[in-house]
Amino acid sequence: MVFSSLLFLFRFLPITFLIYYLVPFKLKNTVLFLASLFFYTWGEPKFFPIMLVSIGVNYIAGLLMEKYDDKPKIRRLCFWVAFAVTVGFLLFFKYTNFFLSNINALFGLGLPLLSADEFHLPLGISFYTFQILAYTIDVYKRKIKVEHNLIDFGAFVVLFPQLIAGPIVLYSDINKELKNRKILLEQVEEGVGLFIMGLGSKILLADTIGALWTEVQMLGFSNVSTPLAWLGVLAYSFQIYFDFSGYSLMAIGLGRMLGFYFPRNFNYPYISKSITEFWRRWHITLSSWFREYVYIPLGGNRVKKSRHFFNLFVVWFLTGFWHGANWNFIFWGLYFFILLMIEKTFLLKYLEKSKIFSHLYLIFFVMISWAIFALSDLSMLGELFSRMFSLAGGVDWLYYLRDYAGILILCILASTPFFKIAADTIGKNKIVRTVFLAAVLLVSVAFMVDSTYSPFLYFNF
Amino acid sequence: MKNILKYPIALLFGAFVMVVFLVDVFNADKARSEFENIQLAQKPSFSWSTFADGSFGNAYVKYINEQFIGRDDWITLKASADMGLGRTEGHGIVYGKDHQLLEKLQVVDTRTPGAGTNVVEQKSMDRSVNVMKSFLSMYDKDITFSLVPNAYAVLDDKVPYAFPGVNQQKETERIYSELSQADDRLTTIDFSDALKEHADEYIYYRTDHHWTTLGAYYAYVEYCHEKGLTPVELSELDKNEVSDFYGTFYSKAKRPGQPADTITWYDIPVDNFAFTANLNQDKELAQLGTVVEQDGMELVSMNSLIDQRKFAVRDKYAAFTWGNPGYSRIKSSNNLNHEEGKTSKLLIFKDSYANSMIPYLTYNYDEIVVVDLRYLSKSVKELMQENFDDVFVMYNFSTFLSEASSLARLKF
Repeated sequence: MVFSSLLFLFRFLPITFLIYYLVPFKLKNTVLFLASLFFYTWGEPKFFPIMLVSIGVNYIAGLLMEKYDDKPKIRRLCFWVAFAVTVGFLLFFKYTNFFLSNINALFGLGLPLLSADEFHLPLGISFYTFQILAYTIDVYKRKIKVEHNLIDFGAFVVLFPQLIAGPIVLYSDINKELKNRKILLEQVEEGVGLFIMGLGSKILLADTIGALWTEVQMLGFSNVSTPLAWLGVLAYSFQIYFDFSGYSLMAIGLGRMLGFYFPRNFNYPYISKSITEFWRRWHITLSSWFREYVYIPLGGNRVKKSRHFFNLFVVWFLTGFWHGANWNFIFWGLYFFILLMIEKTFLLKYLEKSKIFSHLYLIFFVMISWAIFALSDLSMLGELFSRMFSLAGGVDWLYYLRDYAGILILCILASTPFFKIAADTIGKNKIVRTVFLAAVLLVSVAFMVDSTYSPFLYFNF
Repeated sequence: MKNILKYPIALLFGAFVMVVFLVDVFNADKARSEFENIQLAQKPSFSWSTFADGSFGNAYVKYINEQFIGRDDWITLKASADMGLGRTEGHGIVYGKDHQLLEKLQVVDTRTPGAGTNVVEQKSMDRSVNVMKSFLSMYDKDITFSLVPNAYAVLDDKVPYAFPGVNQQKETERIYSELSQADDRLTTIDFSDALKEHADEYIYYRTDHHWTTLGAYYAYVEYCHEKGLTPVELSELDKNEVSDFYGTFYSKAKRPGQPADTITWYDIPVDNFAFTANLNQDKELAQLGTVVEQDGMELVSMNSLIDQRKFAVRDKYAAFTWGNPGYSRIKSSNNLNHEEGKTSKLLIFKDSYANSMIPYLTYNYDEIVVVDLRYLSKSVKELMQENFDDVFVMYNFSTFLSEASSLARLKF
């Protein structure tokens, strides 16, 4: 189930929240756990056991590590079993076909691939795997107390707001709230506002501007003018940002309505002045996760220069690979590795001084990165780049620019703190704020209904 | 009350979601949507097996979406929001000047999933051309072929700058020359010039994909010129008008403030119009006409070319030739060049564009056999055995590109 659907908004949401608000506190986590399992199971019940095994194995591993606190061998065994099972599911579902097809290509073999119908990705596996891993690693390192309550642990893992697309919430972020939290109208008020803005980001901005990219792709990169190719990549850059940050915002808003404070995931990444800054603002919980659980364990920067270099390489390789089981994602990660190295070596200090050039620099290199990200077919990517960097004239882009001008302006404004500033000034007025959010909500619902609209009209063509 | 003022967003949102939820659940389901012309999804019945394989989930989502409360109004709100954002198109329909809606017909290598019906693959277009070629090679007859341009290819003044639709004129010329090479007895007629001459007149509906009865007339005159026939004068015909017509383009892009179209139709007498029909679906038909056994089929016989009942419903264009029967035969005494003792005959393979043009052709042929390949249950080979003076294949450009599968019946 996704948030941006009528099913979620007008079935799951009212039923779940009504029950959640009505039951006494000691039952709230149970309601959350069951509702989240239902949310996870909807549409794909066959993956239900995988979720239960992931929760069960890590829960028991935690208890055992606590029980055998003074037996390092048993502790280590428990840790590695839980680690292997959790990572194993992710590797199996996400990466099996990538490895098989590369082995096939390398050795000329014909190993059969997993059928895409049977073995597609279980909902949110990339996200909840990281959450569980962080928990089990922290327990192993004795950084956190073990969770004794299975319901609370299960609710943490499968909590529906952040299940599909993050933010990656650490156990230590919400363990206090799991045990004791207040649910005040004030928080709900704030949460609903965030949720509506997230919904608007996803539906009004991301989905709408995404259609432009889809169309450019469908026309074929060789058939469009150079400006239209750039316009297409710009559209994709906005689509991916508003899709992803919109989901995160909806998750944070829903969390707030439930009484949780999830960490912020995006902080206007497109206004950065360097790639270094960009990654401090983009998908913040993922970067923190890699820093905490990969980079620092490898030694971080307190090592020889060559080893430091290697550590960063591993982090960016994995960051790329986490985003998708394909070479282009790995290239995408390493592309950032190279840019970050260049910035670290000499460029960063110039960028930080510059006022205009640094923004152009960032937008250019980020757009190129999204082109790499978008196209798993490397020959298509070559076609796109050759069109972007050779001059092919044409007026086709004028039509699309005119069609999407309004949306593009909204996307540009929403990439900056414009709406935040507006909310903190004129938005302080309750009427203005309410009317604005109501309008965003109603129009978002209209777009949602419209997206399912495909009239059959050609019977009498 | 104090809380409402203090936390208006939380409470209004809660009330909105709850009310829509309850009303939507208890609102009676509809069977079909006339506006969208689809049967709406009904509540799927639950079983553990359909739940486990995910099909219940998918069916339920479809059900909720299609039965959603106030669906048509939400879609209108979307179109209004688009207008506010300055969008120039919606669902593949472009808002041209003077409220003229235009289909953005595109030919691409591969359609993306979810692409609208306005996107056609190159290979589908090639297939249509190849089917026509095989058809031409099968018969040693004089065949006339015409692709009718769609509105955007004619109404240059109404089309936005740099409109990205496929170049119909160029493609039509290419198809004509390819087909003429395959069969040197082929006659092709290009209506674009004739229509462009009248581009400032009301020759295409603003809200529908068809040409108007007037547009069809100019094409008819052009056809007569090419064939050496005398066209009937419009002034000699008995004219009627039906207003308040909102066509298929409007169903896709229903922006507020869009003026309706007016349908003009002429009361053209015929001796007999016999056509195939689904008598179970339209039970009234048997009473309105007589069911006869003719040409080896069960046909309904009428003495009018117009189904006037349709002027009262949404899909008004379906009045012409009683919709799109797979097979029909028109007999009239209108022929201006009638020769005693001879029955001149036309066979026409067509799509719905022809429906508003066919009435004029009764002034040039004693009998017209009209075939809509999409609904034909008879073999074309059998039909072609009859002795026709002319065989005319006429499709609008857009349908021709996407109807390769029904065009393929030309070969059987």
